[in-house]
Amino acid sequence: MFESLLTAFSYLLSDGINFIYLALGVVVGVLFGIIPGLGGATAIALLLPLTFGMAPEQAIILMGGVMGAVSAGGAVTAILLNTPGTAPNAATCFDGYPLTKQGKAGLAIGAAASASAIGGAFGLIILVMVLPVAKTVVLWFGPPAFFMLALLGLTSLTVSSGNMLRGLIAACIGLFIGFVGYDEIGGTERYTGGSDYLWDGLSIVPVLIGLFAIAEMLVLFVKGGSITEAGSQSSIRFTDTLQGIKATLKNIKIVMSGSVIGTLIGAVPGIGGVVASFMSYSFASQITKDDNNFGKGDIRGVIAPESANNAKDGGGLIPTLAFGVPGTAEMALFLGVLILHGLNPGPMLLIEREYTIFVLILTMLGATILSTAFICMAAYYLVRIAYIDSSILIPSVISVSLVGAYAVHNTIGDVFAAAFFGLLGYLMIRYDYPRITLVIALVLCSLMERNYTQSMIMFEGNWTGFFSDNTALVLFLCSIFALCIPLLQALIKKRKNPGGTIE
Amino acid sequence: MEQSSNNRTSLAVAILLLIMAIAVLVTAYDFRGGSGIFPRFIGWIFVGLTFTECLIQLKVVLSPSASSAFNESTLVKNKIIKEFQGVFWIVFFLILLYLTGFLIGIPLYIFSFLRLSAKRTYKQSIIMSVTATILVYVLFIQLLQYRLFQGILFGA
Repeated sequence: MFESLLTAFSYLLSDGINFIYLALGVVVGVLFGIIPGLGGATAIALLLPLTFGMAPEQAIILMGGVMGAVSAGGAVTAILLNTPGTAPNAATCFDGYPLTKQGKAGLAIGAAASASAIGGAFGLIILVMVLPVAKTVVLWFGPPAFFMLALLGLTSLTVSSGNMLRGLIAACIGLFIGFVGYDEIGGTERYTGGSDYLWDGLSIVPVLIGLFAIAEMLVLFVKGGSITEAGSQSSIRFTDTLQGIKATLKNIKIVMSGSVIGTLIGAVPGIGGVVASFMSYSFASQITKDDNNFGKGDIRGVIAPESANNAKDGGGLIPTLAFGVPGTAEMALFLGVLILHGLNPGPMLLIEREYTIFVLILTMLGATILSTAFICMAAYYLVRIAYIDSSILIPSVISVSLVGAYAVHNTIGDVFAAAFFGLLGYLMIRYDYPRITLVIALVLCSLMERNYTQSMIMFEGNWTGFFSDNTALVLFLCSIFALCIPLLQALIKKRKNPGGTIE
Repeated sequence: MEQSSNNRTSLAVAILLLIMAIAVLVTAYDFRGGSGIFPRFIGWIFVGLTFTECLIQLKVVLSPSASSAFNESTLVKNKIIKEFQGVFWIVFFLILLYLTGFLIGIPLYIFSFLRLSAKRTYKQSIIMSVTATILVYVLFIQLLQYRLFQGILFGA
């Protein structure tokens, strides 16, 4: 293994063009991450033709650069404009944007970039360690465990949203939005109203663009001024970004928990980075006892999802390389690049071309570090967006957001959907219904339903079967515990202050 | 007074959600085979939750502290007017996009917004609208080779 690692390292250093490919991949990755509606899959698809004449390792360097950088880029717009650059960055909005409003955008960007780098490196180290035993780990998660994992994500996030009843109502709305479209299992159209556009269900990107970017622009329109009223452009300092890096190092436990969650969820095909970052966010919110300000501008709410978001790439490569099973669209495209260059993913690839795998791992490691440095340096200029007058910012953001919504599937229906969810998002802000739980429910809906149905078939309709699966049982108990946390907190408060009443 | 108005609208929102929950639950009973099992299960939970929210909001509205005379302040009225204006600009942009497509709709929208809503000068409005359109054109059409929607008036 060390021999392959050294061979890969010397290959990377052997030719200056390798570094140029890596830098190109990083720049494209960061830019595609920043622009809402694009993301890693689009970047890989667009760069794919460029790799035709390249050696397999060089193509891997270019694509590895993109994959290692795209998540970090997506955090920038999530923090500055409440618009997730890529879907997995949505959880970063919840605390990143409030920090921007407080004039702490530099801090948030520094924290996000450094958490991304550590998370990315962690995921890749785990990849190296886990590849030989990957099959066993992935097989722990059958349909009942998947269902319970999704349930845990939903319940813990609802609890941490602050208003449990409204959080649960928002989760139900999210699930019903997720039901829209043709159901392959039952062969029925659900809640489409006969619309062809809704046949495939609602795409997540226009929904996110609407709920976050457009809704926030409406809030800004009503409020007036600029995103942040705290400080001024002259008060922006490069040291703000360094403070963010320090905050990440100070909260290393959150980074590590996020990295573990990201790697584990990334390794499970079909779940994706969105679930990883939301799970990490809700887990961090649950374990944070001191000054829990999640949702209102807590730096830990930026660190947790970003570390998971980048760590999931390392995890996602486990099934992609070991079994040829891609976990996400990005990985599916990357698989296509490998096949195009004559590399067939699977156990034989690990045996025959081990050094090629290490080229990829080292490239992605380099990409996470390069993208972090790039973003930290650019943050000094990027945070000025928060001080732009709303009358300039609103039409620009709405225009680019709607183009981004259209660009995903080239359908005008997505533009109308983004606008609709913009209005819904505004109403949710106005009447204090958490948007977080709606989004996580929408993301988890198909996973929950598919695994619920599969489990019920496995258990022949007997729901108690869920408790016969050890992994599912542990996850179910965790969900119950998450729901009991507010009650436990109230009881502890009551014990400390016997005269008070339980809320 | 603003609080009283908020309580009433919160109750109206809760009632609306309850009606929506009942509607989606009833619809779920029409789905064939296994398609309705999960939506029905979630639908009942949805109805229960929204009903509880209605009761809570009703209690708040009926409580003595909230029963002061309903009289919207100028502040609230101004906010509502602003909200309608915000929605109007989004609807206006959507109509422009649908009719003329992105490359004509974007400059028209930005120019109108800056001139009429933000009261910016002609020069600023033109510079902003042209810059944003060039950015979209270069990025999405020239670099990324996307075919942006051209609007129904121009053959889309």
